[in-house]
Amino acid sequence: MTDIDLLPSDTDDDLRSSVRALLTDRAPAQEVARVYDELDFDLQAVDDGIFNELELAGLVIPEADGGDGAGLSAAGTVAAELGRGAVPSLFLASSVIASRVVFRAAAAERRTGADGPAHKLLRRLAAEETTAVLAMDATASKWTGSLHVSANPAGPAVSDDPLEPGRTVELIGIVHGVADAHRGDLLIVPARTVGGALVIAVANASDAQITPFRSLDETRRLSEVKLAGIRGRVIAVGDGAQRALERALLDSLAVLACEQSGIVDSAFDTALAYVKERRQFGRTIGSFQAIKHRLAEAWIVGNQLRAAALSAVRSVDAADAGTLSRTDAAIAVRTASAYAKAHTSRIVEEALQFHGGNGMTWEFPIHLLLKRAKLDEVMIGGADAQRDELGRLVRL
Amino acid sequence: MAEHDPAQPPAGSSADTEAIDAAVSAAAAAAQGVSDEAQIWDILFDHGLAWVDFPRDCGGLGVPANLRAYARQQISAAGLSQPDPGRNSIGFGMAAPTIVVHGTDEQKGLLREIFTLRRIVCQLFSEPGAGSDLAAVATRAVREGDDWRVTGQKVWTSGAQNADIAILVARTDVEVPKHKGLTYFLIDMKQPGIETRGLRQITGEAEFNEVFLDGALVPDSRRLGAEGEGWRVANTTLNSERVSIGGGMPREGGMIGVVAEAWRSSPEHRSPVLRDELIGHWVDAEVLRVTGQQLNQKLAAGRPGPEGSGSKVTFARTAQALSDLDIRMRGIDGLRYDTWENRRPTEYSMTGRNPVYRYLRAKGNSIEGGTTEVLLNVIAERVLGLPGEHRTDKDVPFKEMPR
Repeated sequence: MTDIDLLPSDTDDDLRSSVRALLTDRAPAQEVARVYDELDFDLQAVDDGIFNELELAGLVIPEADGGDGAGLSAAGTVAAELGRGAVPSLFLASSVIASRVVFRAAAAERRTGADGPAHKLLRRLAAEETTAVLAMDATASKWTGSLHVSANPAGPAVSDDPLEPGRTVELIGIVHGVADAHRGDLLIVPARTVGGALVIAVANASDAQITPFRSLDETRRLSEVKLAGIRGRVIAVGDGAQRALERALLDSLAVLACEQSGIVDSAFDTALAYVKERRQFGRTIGSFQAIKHRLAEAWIVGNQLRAAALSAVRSVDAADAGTLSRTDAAIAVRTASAYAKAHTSRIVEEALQFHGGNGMTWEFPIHLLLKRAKLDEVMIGGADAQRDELGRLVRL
Repeated sequence: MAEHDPAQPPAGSSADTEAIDAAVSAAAAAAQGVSDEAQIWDILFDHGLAWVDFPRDCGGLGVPANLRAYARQQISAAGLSQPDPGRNSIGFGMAAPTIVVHGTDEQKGLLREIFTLRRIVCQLFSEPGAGSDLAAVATRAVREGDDWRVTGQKVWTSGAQNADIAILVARTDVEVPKHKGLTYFLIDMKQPGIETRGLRQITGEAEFNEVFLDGALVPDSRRLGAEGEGWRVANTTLNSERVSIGGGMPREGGMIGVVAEAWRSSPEHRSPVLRDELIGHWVDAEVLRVTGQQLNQKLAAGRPGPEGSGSKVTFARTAQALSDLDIRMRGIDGLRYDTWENRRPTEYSMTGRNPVYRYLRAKGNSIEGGTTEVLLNVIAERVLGLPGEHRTDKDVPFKEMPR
């Protein structure tokens, strides 16, 4: 087991400052809060900056496919900054989750020597103009959905198996809660054939019926996605598709842990500043030991989550570079994710409590973090699911 | 760090690892044909391989502290015997780092004695009335010509019965506020004025001692640092005690390893609820380890962070939670104990013996080396910049303090 380098790199620091500058300018809390009152408002100025100006769409896509090849650790840096302000952005859905599914699918293609449909799609995603969203229940830790795929426009038949990458198919079914589906250009659709094989297909989002519904965190809206026999193109099938999806979800959990780390840091910073200012009983409330100890505890969690999340993204990058085993990388990701999911909401709840009555008001930005923290806690499986997977990895 | 492949030194300056490699080669050459262990340890000391981060005249090479593990590995690889730090843990972990910073040239001579285990060190800091409030020590040292006479009672002294010398904090001036009247000494333990009694603890055994000093003698040449500077010197010692917990451990090192192995080897008591709890603790232990690893890397890169003080809090909590689960997950076997006999263990391990011992011993983890409450205050005040607690004892001369 090689030690992962856990020191921040200069590249990460540069990326962090440019994203932070963009978000300070375009995503102040009162702008972010507008998404709760204006249901067709997505603070598009942020993604104009993220995709068109900073050109971050291809961070996790290899250079050979037109991306930056910067890896998950760069994506984690961006995600942490977006998490700090609970900023609405397609970055996680498109440039991390969907891009990683396609990247993993393309890796399966490369092994068979084909420059197939997944590689072509990867190049489109790297080229900034096209965004994609994985059509999967946002809370699911693995694919258990009810979408079906058929190669026969007249209806599903057992003879559809096996399907080939590149084939045009028909997709049918409903997914009840897809994050950011209303904003993507493409849907990446995992679906089952009648014979039970998993297929990953890509479809135009405009062909689907995508209906956003009100939910806890409007900065990352959830939609019902209905595919009424729309056309899709297969990018992966069978075991390759299964593995691509599993690995991509693991990758996504690592980046999500970075986002959660950003949320904790932001809630902590806000709370620390507040208790140094706020006076009751003739003194700052930060002078009360009941508050000092809890802030010290929150600080410990923040440090540990930052280290664990960095270890998770760097471990995945190391496994992709062949310098760490897949198992060790998976352990690092599940550990960070289980820790993040056990603590992020809790720390934001602490920060809210320190704000007293102000914490309950719309005016103070803590509620934006609380809503995002709780969503992140259940995204791609809760802490229990992560611990369960981790237990299998470490033989417990 | 302990797991580094010698062929792949940790990240850091290659000049530093080369200095270590060269010193090891030279020591190996000098030790040709020497079979006496103590003599080999002297050779290691002479070549700067005692504590490689210490200065060159103090048994070191002046390289970063995180290269200690690498050096130990290279020394082993060269087939050279090394003293077990566990046989002089106060000497290695507390006395030596303090002597390096504050010692006179004559006192630095003790470094060799400590390293080669010729002098075993114990610690005379805590008192019945001075626990977390260490600056409240009441043991008096009174000047008598070139000597000092020490009278008072100390407690929580491990290994006092075997120690040759002690690091001692005593009050030399009662006219000034409590932090200002303390002085730090290196006192000989083997003298008539010192009596040691085992202090039986909740495990049944006496791992620690009470030490009674009645006019014990210490020459002024064994004063470490200036008169009245004892608090500052003691803080050097205490900071050495708290550095980078969990930083050098392999995955599943410490309590988690013991409990995880027990889980794997006894399927009969498993339940899904206990499993989820165990894996939760596994996560906490692993996150603590990764954080320690990051801290070590920051130290090596010259970017020390204050995260270390938080690791002690998590370490104690995780060890306590795991040892608690260890009792509950084994049925009747979780309750079996070997002996309640009041004995003096010659060696001990917090992860040793059995679940009952570990459960009871782990209770001390959140007390020894700084209580969790004091550490949280330290973080809140020194790291986060929150106001200090209201104090009535800071500017009052010690003799007028209500006690």
